[in-house]
Amino acid sequence: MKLLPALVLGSLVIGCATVEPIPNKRPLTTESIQSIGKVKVAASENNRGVEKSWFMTDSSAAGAQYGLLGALVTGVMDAIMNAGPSKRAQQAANEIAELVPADALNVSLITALQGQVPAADAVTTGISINEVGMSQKMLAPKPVNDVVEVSTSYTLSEDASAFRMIANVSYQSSKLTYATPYKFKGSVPKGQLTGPLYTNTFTYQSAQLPIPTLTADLKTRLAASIQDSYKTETGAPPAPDSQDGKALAKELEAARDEKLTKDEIAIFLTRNWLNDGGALLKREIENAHSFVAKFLVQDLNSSAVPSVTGKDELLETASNGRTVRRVGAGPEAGSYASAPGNLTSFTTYGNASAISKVSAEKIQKLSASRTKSTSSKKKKT
Amino acid sequence: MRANFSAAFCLGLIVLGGCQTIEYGPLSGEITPIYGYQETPTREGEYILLVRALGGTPETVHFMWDRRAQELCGAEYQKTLYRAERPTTSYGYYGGAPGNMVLEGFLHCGAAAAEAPATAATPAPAGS
Repeated sequence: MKLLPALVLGSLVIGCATVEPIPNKRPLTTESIQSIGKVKVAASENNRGVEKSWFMTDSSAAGAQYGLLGALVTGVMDAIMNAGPSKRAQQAANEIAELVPADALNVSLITALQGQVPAADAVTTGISINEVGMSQKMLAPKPVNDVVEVSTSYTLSEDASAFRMIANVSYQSSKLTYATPYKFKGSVPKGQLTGPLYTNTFTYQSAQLPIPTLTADLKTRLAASIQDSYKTETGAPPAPDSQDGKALAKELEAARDEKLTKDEIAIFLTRNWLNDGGALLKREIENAHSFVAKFLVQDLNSSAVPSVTGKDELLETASNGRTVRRVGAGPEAGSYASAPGNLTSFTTYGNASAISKVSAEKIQKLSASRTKSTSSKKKKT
Repeated sequence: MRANFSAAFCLGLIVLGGCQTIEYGPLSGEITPIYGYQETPTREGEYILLVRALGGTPETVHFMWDRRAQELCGAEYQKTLYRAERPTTSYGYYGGAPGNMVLEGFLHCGAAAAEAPATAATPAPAGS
């Protein structure tokens, strides 16, 4: 009997807690634009480099009904299933990092942003960049006041046929406070009462590489490449009864069939990106950074308030069919997207990504040095 | 006997109704189509057209996009696709799989090329 009022109350509370959808973007107001004027832009140093995405398999739900034994069996099964794709993704990230290391990404981004700094004697209105720098967010994660902060991530798709760059930009001021431009039926949610004055996202999708077709030669190269990826540090193949040995046998069997999986395609396409010293990848990275730099300045000077029910706006069409649009609807409304024309295949970006060994080591070092400095600060206080 | 037949007939209808699928239709309809479309008019004779497929092949998804474009514009139209992806779907604790194919782009009815608000000399794309 007491259950009914509790249920009614519960549903009312849930109803009250529903968050009204608003765009993630925080636009600047006309007053803020005039007040900010010349601004420094700091690129957050990218530590992960170009990541290689892949799909992680989880069969734990199937094993759960058989208790502990089932969980153990599916755990081992998952480890074998995920070993190959994970290993190959890391190998791809390693290969990329040799030619296009994280530092190269940072230099390219800085160069593109510097290209937006007007000449010293140029007359500017609204917001313009007067200085470009770099910051290491792992060591100083707090937002810096009065600086436009840009952080980027770079990912190759599951089959490596496409490359994606996402730039998240934010600006927080020491003098100005954020006042949400969005309307709410009730009180303004807590998340909209504080935080940065400006945020937005810029996404760049590369052109798609053509998918290779399966031939006898390709099969041989695929098998060789898989065997290569499983070699131990001494260059020897893994023991047949080890976990790696079993995973290798499973993958070689799959490689001999008449299907070319996305994971297998990635082995070849990663190398296409890296031909000629990584020229193709470097060019796309530069294009991506030019896009961010150009539209970031435009967007900083726009006080337009997006809506979750708006319409996409086409901003630019290049002769090769590439478009730049301002997303019109949903939580991404107001963000910018640069996409290629002539899309044919359907890109997937997985639910996991691998980074190169070099990047992992760098992150580990930074993390250790941060822990060290935090503990020494605590000691002093 | 007659009552049994009627009951079986009704049951059959219910079962068949439950399994009812259509190959092609609007995403906003009562029955979810295998190839569903949704268009948003932007200006007169211009749309943002999206096709979401529950299965099928990439070629068929492209075909269905063109099919809807022809229904909206007739034989002559310009298309500028900007999204061809399979967004990741999650399952279990940490599993992920490719979701349904989504194809989206600008549709401009008529033979003339779509007039963009601004045209820029974007560098040549990779692979071109």
